[in-house]
Amino acid sequence: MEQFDLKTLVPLTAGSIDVSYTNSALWMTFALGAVAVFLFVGSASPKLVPGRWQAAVEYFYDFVGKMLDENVGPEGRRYVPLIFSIFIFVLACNLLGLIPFVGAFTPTSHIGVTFGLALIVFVVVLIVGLARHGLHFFSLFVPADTPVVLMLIVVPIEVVSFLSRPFTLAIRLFANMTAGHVLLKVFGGFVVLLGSFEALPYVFGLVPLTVNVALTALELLIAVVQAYVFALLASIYLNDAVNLH
Amino acid sequence: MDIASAKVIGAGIAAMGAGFAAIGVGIIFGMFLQGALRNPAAADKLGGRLIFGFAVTEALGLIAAVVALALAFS
Repeated sequence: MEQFDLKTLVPLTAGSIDVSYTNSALWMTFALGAVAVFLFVGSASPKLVPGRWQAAVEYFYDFVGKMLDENVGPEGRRYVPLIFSIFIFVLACNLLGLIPFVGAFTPTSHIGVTFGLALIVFVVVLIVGLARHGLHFFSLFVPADTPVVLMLIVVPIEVVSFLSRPFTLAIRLFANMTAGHVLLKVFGGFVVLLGSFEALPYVFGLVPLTVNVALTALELLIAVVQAYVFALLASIYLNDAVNLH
Repeated sequence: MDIASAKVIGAGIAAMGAGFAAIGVGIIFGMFLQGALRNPAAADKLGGRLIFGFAVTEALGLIAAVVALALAFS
């Protein structure tokens, strides 16, 4: 479990608050750098018929744009910067943590990071909803045509389910990343354990090694899927705020 | 029973939640396959919903696994 340890690289304080530059911040900087290189080089000299890199950048943009068109409707395009940033940042953080040998750290395997991102989504949803509809925003918790008696039960349930959204968003991403890396470490331990059989070294370690290869492929898939699901849920919550029902 | 062994037993019981989540994930994919067999032309449009449904169901199973890990290693 020490792959999840937070190590301070440059201790800094702002007054009495610890704002040190940690390994988490370092890998988030790497994620930012990777995303920046990908986007800036891809759109450096744009052509009408795109080359491969430009086509890849356009694919990501269209992907997020289509997701917002489907889930929010015609006004979804104003939220493309937010959803695109969240999607590609989470994707880069998830993927960079899977690089072996360099001591990679997955920033999104910490509940602090994922809860921060989920809180950003939640606060934006609240601000957008309240700014657009004022106090009528709270009609979100009252499904259409419910009799008053049922409303006493349904409204608290709806409110609790609304308030649990940042938590489920954060925990889903954090649990997926943590569980994946713990599983990789457990099977890595098996490789060493089975491979250190003195009579026939290394051979029996091949079986858990094969499992580890398959698990790494699964983790790559899960990294991409979790980033997609985070962004998709953020757009669905935005839809709730923008088009109330 | 001391607290340390109670924690480990609790971790074992909590890990059973992952099995229930596996049933849920199987239901999601099975329903998708059934629907795709009935209406293959519309199956591609459902692909996004499939991945989404899988991810939210898997999340609950992983929450159980994280509870188990937190109990076993704290």
